[in-house]
Amino acid sequence: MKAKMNIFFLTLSCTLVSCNKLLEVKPETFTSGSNYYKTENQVRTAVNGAYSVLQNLNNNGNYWIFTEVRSDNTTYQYNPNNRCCITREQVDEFLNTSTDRYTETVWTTLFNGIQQCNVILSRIEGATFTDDAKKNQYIGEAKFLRGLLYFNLVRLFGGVPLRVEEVRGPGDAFTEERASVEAVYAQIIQDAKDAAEKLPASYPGESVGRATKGAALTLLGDVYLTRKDYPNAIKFLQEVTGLGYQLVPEYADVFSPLNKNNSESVFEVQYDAGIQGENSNFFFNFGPFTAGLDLTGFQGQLGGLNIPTPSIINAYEPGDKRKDASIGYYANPDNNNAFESFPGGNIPFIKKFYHPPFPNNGWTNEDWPVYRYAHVLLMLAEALNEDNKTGDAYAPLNRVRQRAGLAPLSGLSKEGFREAVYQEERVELAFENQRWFDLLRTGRAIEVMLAHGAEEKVRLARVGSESYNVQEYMLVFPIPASEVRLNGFEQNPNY
Amino acid sequence: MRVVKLTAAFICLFSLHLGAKGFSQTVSFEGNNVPLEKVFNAITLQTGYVVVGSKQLLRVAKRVSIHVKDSPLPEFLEAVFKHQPLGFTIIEKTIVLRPMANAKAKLLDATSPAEIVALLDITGRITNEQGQPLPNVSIMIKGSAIGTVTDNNGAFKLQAPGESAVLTISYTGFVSREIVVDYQKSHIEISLVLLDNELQSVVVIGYGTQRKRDVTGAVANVSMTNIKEMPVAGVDQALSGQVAGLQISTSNGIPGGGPQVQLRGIGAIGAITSPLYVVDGYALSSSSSQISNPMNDIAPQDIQSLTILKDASATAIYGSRGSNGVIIITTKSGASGEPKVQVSAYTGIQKLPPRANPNLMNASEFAAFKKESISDQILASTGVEATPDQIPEIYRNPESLGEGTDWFDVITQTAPINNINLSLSGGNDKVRTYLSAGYLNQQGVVISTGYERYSLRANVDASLGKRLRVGVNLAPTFTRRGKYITGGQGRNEQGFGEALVASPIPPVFNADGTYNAMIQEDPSIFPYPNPLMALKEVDDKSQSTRILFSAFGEYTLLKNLKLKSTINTDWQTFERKFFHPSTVGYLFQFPPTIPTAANNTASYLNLLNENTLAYQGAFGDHSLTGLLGFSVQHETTAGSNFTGNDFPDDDVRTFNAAARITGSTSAEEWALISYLARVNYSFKDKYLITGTIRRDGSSRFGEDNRWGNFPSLAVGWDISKENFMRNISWINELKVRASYGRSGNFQIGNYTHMSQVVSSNYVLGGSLAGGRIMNTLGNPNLGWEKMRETNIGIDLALWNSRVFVTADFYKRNTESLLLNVELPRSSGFSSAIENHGNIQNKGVEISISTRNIVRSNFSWNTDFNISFNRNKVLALGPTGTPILAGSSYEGNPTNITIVGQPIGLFYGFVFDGIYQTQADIDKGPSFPGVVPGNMRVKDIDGDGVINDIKDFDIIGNPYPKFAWGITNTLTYGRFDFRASATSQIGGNKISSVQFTTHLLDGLFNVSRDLNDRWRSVDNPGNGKVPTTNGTGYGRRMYRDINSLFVENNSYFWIKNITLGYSLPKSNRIFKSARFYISIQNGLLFTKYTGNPEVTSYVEGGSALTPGYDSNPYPVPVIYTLGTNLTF
Repeated sequence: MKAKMNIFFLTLSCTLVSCNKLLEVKPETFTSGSNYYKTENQVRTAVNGAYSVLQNLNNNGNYWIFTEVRSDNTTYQYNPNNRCCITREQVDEFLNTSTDRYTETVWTTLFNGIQQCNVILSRIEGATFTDDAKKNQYIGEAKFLRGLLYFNLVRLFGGVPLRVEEVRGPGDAFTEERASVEAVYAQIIQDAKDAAEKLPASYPGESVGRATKGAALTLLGDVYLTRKDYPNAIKFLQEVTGLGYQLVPEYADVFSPLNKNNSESVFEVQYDAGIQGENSNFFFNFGPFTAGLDLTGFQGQLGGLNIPTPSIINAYEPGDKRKDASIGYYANPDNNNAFESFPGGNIPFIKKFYHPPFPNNGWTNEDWPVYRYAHVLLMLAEALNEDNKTGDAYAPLNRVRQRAGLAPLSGLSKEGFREAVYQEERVELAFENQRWFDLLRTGRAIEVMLAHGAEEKVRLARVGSESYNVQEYMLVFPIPASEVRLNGFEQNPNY
Repeated sequence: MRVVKLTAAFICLFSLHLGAKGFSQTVSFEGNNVPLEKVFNAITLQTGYVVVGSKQLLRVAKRVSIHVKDSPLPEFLEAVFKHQPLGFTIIEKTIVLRPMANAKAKLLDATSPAEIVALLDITGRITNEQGQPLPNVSIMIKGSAIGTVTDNNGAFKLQAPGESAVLTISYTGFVSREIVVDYQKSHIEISLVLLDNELQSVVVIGYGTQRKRDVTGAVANVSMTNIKEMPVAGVDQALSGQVAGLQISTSNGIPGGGPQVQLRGIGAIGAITSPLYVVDGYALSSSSSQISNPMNDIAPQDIQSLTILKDASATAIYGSRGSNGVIIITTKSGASGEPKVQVSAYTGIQKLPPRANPNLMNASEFAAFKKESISDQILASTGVEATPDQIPEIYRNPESLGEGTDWFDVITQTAPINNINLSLSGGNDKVRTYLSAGYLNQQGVVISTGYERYSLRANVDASLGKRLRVGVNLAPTFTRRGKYITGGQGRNEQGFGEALVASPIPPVFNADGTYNAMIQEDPSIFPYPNPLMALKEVDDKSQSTRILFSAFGEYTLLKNLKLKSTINTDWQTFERKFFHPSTVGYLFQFPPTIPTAANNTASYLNLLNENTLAYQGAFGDHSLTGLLGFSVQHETTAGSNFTGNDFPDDDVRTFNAAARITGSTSAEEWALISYLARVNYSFKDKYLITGTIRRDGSSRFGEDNRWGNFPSLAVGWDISKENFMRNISWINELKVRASYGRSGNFQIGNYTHMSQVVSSNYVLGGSLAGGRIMNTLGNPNLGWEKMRETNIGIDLALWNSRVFVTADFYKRNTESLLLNVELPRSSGFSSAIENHGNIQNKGVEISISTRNIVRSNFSWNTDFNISFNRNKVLALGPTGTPILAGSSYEGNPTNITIVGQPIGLFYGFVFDGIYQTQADIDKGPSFPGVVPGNMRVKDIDGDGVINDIKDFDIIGNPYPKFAWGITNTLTYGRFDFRASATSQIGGNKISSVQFTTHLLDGLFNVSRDLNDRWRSVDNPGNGKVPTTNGTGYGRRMYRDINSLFVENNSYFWIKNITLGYSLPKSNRIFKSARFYISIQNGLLFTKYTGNPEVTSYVEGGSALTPGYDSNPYPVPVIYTLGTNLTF
């Protein structure tokens, strides 16, 4: 302040040059983009920032609405009084439209992450590095994240604008057309391959949580599997199996906040309720809305936004330890009025992400699993079977079953094995944002969801006749209306 | 000119006659075709008689040819006037000319000596209000041509006939007076009062003053007499309806709040649209908002004058900050002379008018509503009538519940307002001082709100030697506030919004006298914290200190050349403390809750140094003034926001008891460097020209676009000074003006042109990993918003300056609009600020001031103004894509801005009746979950299905067709009366409060309108309220933006009525004493259901979302009793 005062009182005699310096103000609460991304340290924090975008997706980004609620795994709890936010419910029942704000939020969050990666990748060559290994690692991380974000986008929306360069100014912001699905996948594969090449297999303690070679290879395997390029899927997934991952002995322990980044974790989004602003809030969104005080110890309504359906509850084989680890029930006499209530007033909830006590209202401590080794094994099993190597496929599948307390399978036909691996994927990865993509990948979405819709119409009086009228075009979500309006490109058909 | 001016020759003759004795009574004259003046000269020389009469009379006279010797005067005059259209009268030794046709002129006849005896010698002296003599004042005997003018000492002498004689005293620039001649008093002392709004008066313009008659731009002077004594915290609230084109919207009634001030329409979208405030030459940086308002830091009693600079020619001297107009405030300064002590005080009460109450259901109505809606739902879903036990017990017998609780009544009160202001002024030739101290205490009509202000002011100026003048203005202000409530509906407003939704059934207090903490009689409704308890028990207090300081030195370099340098500082601190105790709940959270606290601080320091060189000179018919200046302004702001969480109890409320503290601090700065120049040139006072240029460099723009030039040119022509206008006596002044210029707008964020890389942390290895993300997109080319304005104006004074008319026609285009351009989200950003777009405002402003009655004991003045403004978007963003803005409760946009239309038209569903039957539904359009009784809206996109946005259309225009204001001032003897009103005709508002009060879901109390809802085909209600049934869109659309809640906003509001009485001047204690009663905001005539002046584009909104009314703090009627005493 004193210096400013001096400058000020000098103006009487100041020359033009010294005065003009007064106009060059420096921001204090942020850094100007043109002065950032110049040092190794700055690039590292920018990479950390790119990861933080993933935190938003599963907290208030409502991402699970599009992957779990959309599928047959979960539904919402109908609140007869508070009819707010109908459009979120419409995603569940296939009534959603291009003006839905939740669709726009997910789209926006995913592309926001892509821009962060693009800025890093566009500017890293101009930054000074003392350690080239670090530079490679950061490039690898940014490319992994960009690939992962595009993989989510292309599966939700089909062809999307493909941006691989930083948007430098308002003029760059518009795109006249959407890239083809093929072009987006080509970019994802390129990014994942580059990342796999540049990323280390593991990190020292303080960096645990960063994307690893294993994460990039898993992404690559998932992409190839989705593209039905089974030999490549097998190739990369098998590479992952050589990296030392181990299943955690008890399924329930996989999700415990006490057991983050465990031996099974390939890539997970990091949260920490012990650090200001870094908590997750999954259960507060997912839990039955009447369960606040009883299940969290805090007053107020929970979201009731992600409630297991009978379909998933009944999907577990008898004796499957995963059922109790994944699903809990909340009993309350008030529940009797709820459509989603089971006899006796029980409302099911997702237990996988329920680890009380919670430190503060709305704060949870769980990480979000993106890729687990169990998932890798199941994808490998699926790919081997599809590649007519059913014999090799039993080992990975049975390792997962074994942990769940189930007997190993054997002697199945290719078709039989396929069904078995689908079943296993469903229950093993329930509520982990995989179900809708699994249905899409395996081509069963319309058939499964029509059947599920019929069940729900019987079970839930609130579901109208126009709901669950699942059609081919609904396999991609509508591009947010604002995007179409501003860019002037084609909307997905029928939206 | 009606003001009779005698020719210089006559005046001369008249004075000669005063001492004339011993002249002859005969006349000799020789001459052919000579003007009458020449004949009269001869008469005076030979006889000592003088001839008086108006110049106009002489103009019509014919030339004469006379050849006489020693003719007696009467015969001589007969001969001279024989063929003239003139008559004459001889009064003693004066020959008074009169028009022949005028019968009244025959007041006296030379042949009626009896009446000549009645003549009376009257002497007198005419002064201005300060007691200084006024020379050349015309004094006429009413109804005759007899008259005279005052001499250099203001003295006059006149002979008046008869008891009925009335003297008309008139002088340009002053209020004319008429005096009945009193035979007991032959000497009259009269002081004339200066006219306001008069072309002669001096107005304050940017960096100086100017005679109003020399002004070439559109400049409005506010009549301080029209707004004095209004019980308002800031003077801007008093401006309502006073100035054409200046729209003052009292958006809410919070004590110490500020109105929305808007000049000549909305000229910006991405930048703030409020005008620049200049106080004693100091351009303040802060702009007005609904709560913080720079005008509140200046006691209205300290204000000497207020000037509004409207067009680009007037505002260009403020360059980059002028495009929304400039309001120049000059505070009072000391005058040399005896010390003068003044006391202004008022006390009063504030009371809410009945219309402020939202008219919600009482307990039995609400229980009946609940009972019926639950029964209807059961019947509709099961086909079976509901049994009593399916209805919650509390609702089964609605009548038994009675009135219940009217929460709006509970949280509001009649509140006192008190103000006292004490001032002392005085000085001598060397030093002049004005000191004042004030205290305002305005409690709120909503409990726990209120505003207190302590203000001091010291304005001192001194002449040091012959060349140097120095001065200091120091004005500290300290304010304290209660709760911050501008409005809202239902969530986290600490009690105010809850009163709109809390159920009327539960009582305020439990039987034991404790608060009934949560208002919920049944689980089917939302449990809200008790509104009264929340208002009373949640601490929320704030205080601020502001010190405005200016010092100047002015040195006369040469006779006409002055160098002036000023240093100004504006220092302000603000602190707000908040504590939510465990006893008060939240929505869905019953107490005890975990106590939390918040502490916010802000401070800013603004420094300004200005240096100007001013020249003023005149050479014959040419006069020239010039100004050169250099200015540097710099501001630093700092703020902090801390939240304390997990307090163990409510006892210790400071942060040392908080188990967890989170928060942030911030710091910003900006700087502005300016060069300015202005030249005024006039020729013969008839032809005026003004040229202005300012060059501004601002830190708020990208380096390449940092500097901007703002030139303007204006010309004026005073037609009334032309010879050909001399004959048109009813036009006193006629001036036409034309101007063209540019000014700018810099009211955007300090760092908007930069892309912001902000903190967004992550967790790695179980510890915090510092992270950054780029969250806004920079724009290195960001530059000035350029306003270009053409103004054509006319100033007229008519009929002895009884009528003043000012009319202005303007067209202002805001180009390179600072626009928050919506970006495709695939860019990673939702918007970026760019210079894209063009908005046009064009309009007409007319002000008319009339002095309808001008008598010594009775006068009536009227000030009227009317303005028409048309706003139109000419270009928008890079592609012209319409902008959707605002957010309804369902997250949909509320306003649309389209090229070719005004900014921010209302946008939503178009109500199209109610589905009566299933067959009606089947005709379409419909939506999932539709049931009979749901509302039908138009299917705009024609796809048969109703969707958000896709089926939205324009449903209203927030702008009035025109706005007008009128102030009438009457004085009768010692009484004075004033009434001011403001009005707007046309335009819509969205009464969005009704989206809450008309909720069909049964979650909270609702408007009585819902009694008229659709129940069945046979019981369809009023056709405007849908059924409570159904689970789909039906209920939701009714609380989303739709045309049902778009209302006409025309209104006429009598803002102030004041009646005063002055004690006789002879009182020994007071020099003057006046008492008054006043009613503020008294009478409102409108069909609009809410406050018709509410605006939503200051806080939480933008220029893109005008007219969205969200339950503002109600505006009370204020009744005051006050006094002004001068000692």
